[in-house]
Amino acid sequence: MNKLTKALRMVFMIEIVEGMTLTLKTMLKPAVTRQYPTFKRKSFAGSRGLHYMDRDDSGMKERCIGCGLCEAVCPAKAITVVTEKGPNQEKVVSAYELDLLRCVFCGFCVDACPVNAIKMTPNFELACYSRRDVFLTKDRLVAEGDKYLGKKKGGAGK
Amino acid sequence: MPDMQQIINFIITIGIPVVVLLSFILANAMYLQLMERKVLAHMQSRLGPMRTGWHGLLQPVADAVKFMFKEDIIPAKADKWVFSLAPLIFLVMAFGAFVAIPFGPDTVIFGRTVHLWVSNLNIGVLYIVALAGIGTYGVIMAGWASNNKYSLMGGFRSAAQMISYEIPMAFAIVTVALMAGSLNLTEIVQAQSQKWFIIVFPVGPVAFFLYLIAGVAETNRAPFDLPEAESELVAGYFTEYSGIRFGIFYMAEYMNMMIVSLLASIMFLGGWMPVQIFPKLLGGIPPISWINTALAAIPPTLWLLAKLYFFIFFYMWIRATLPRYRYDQLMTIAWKILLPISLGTLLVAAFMKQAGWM
Amino acid sequence: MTDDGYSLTSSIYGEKMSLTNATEKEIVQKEMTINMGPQHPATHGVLRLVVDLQGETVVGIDPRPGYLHRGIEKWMESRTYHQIIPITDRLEYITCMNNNLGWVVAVEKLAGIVVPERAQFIRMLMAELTRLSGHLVWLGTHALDIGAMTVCMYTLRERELILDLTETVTGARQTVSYVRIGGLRNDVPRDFLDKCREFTEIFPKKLEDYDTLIRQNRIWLKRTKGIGKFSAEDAINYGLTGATLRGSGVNYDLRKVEPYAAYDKVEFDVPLGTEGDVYARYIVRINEMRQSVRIIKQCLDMLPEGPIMTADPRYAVPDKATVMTNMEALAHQFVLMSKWVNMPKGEVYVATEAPKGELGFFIVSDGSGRPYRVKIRAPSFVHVGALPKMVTGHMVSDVIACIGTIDIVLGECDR
Repeated sequence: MNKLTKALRMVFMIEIVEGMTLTLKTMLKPAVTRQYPTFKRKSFAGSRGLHYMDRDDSGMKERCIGCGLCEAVCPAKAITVVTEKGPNQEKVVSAYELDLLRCVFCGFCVDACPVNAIKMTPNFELACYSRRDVFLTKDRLVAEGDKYLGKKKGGAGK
Repeated sequence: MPDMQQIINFIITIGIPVVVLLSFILANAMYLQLMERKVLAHMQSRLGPMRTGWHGLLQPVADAVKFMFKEDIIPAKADKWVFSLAPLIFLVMAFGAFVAIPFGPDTVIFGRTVHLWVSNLNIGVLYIVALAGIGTYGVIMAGWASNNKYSLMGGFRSAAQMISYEIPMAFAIVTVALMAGSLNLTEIVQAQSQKWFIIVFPVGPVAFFLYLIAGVAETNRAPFDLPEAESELVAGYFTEYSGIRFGIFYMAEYMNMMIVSLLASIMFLGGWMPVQIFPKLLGGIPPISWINTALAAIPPTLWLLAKLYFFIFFYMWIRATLPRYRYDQLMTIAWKILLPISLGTLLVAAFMKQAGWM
Repeated sequence: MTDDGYSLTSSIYGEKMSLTNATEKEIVQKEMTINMGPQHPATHGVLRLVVDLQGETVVGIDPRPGYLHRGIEKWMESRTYHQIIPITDRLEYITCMNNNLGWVVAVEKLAGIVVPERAQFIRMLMAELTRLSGHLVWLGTHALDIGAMTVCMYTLRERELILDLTETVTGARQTVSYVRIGGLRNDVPRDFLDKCREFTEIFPKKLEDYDTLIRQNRIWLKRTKGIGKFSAEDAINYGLTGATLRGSGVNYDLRKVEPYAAYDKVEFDVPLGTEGDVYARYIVRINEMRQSVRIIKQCLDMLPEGPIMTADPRYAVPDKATVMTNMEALAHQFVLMSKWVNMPKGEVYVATEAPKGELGFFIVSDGSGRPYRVKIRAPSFVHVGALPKMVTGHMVSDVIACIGTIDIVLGECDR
């Protein structure tokens, strides 16, 4: 009997018919494609995307203290931190530069930062027209933070 | 000097059909491409082209524009003449085959009796098969002239495949010709007014099946798309083609598909005859008889087109489902399976015809 | 006519002949050499194969890897043990979690770090999810190469679910950099376990779908049965590992042989083939996916509570809250992140069962925070070496099937 079934399956191409039924069924179901720029997926909370710099408690300047730990830990050597002495002999972060062309978005800088200054947004849409745009300076990082946090609170940003 | 009446007659009998046919073919060749992409996409749970026009309806136009404006590259070491001639041969043969295909019975339009064919050849089937055979040259020439090893292999595969599959295909066609008693496509359709050839047991279904498989192979489509198997031969015989020449190959392929499908509808599915639900058995019972009347009221040409698109959908459907055969397996199927079966079918058909059972 | 005939023949067999001499010369039958790759639709990246053909039959095949060489091993020497984690992502870029895990397990063995239970289970859970995603990519591309393109789209559809799960946990879809020496980057989010359970319910049904499409399909059987045969003995001699080895019937799975993470605490079978052909390996991998789902389910049930970072104060990365309040933790954070702590001197080789096979890291430590030398035993590289034996005598189409079946990723092969 088993042999007969096998032979019948062979002659009538049952396995092919089954496969074709599956494709036809799939055709009648809605597609899973998302029309990307029109419909965007909700981003996940912890996604590692574009960086931003938090402001300190006063809200006047960046939180970064210029310890350079992110620079040290960055496996892609994407971060450069330059500090200098300020007027009151305090440490001032004169330059904080993040080269997105080098960045691999591993999130090590975020993990390393001892003051939670550098953070990441789930924003992954980083395409741009100029190399200048992928070179994040301190001011731009802070601005990205304002944009992201403002959006998160529901406001229109700063 | 031909008089006015003669010119008008010429235009009406030759000019209008040719123009209508040409535009029909071209529009189809363009839009079948979209249809294929859409059908494949949805079978794969995708959407397919969505951006150009509503649900990608303008995609074929965009493609055509792109084909025309892209650089037409002829490889430096290619055989220039053969290289340029190959797509034309392929295209012309595909176009030429349409001439013999009747799209419906004689119809009265504006008080005139109009033939829905360009030329009613009495060896219509033979003519189409012959043209398909010549079309193979286009493929071989393209493969050879490109001076690319992948193209060459594609061309060889295609030559072997098309020649091999023409034989079972021809035998299936001969079986039909035997049943109809004619090689004229119109007469073949008329011979099916009582019973479509696909339900003439046992030769009808078998011949139909043979024709179907051979038709897929003849048009180089999956699962027999070895000449252009993209994972093996990059793009097969038209690897080196670009721009409009590539577009011609692309379009001619869909035309071939249409011809194979049209022939299948005409020879096995009663051409433009409407679908009837058991006319002899249940024809008298009211709801079914109403449906039958309604179905018969649909214009014959629409029936033929419906069958055509059904076949084309079917080809796309199997392309979405099946893997690809290997070259030697393909040949095995043609020579060791299809050929004996087709010969047997022909024999049985001849016997049945002689015995008067058909 | 004869001229044409000759030039045709000569070109097929790669012989350059001038037309004038053609009539005088004998037709020399030589193999046609075709260059498959590095840009070819079916070589899974930038593998280059120089294939000698006699008609359609392959008489010689010469794999030439190296087009994706980035000097990763050398690069590792100038990074700390911690910084190497993202580099391992770039080895086998489809199943990064397994590479992370392989590296971290090796380093932990070198330093003798004990990893808490919960971290082990999450590592295993994520590694199995990634294995599923890797096998799905394999199945899809393998089927696509053989012509069944719908399977590819379906597998990618399901892979998307896995990538979403991965992103909720690690923050990245592929290059996860999730495992840390001594533990994990972060704990799993609350809703992840439910989502993951949901996935394990859906996924076996999808596997049935793939089976419907190809498992019994006559064309698939014809294309895969009896192709690329490897006897058990040959497979061992060629150093094949993973499903490629198990397809030949050798019961060797590092998850069983040398359990790492928590593989000794879960039950699973090691699917074995008998024939050692493309089909056997296909079946083995399909069954392996079922086993992976089984492991994931057990993980979800058994997931213990507890810390996710080792208690060993020397290697544990202190968590953020402690860093911001505790001076010692802050100092330790600085040491770990900038130059890592001094590791014990010595050598260690640890192999883990990556989806492609045995992924081994050999580390030579000179006692500093950076490895003195790292050697990666990449399964793909070894498998590429098996191609000539697998393919010779078969046809061009089988080359494609065999490339699919050894399941290579060139990022790992070339390093």
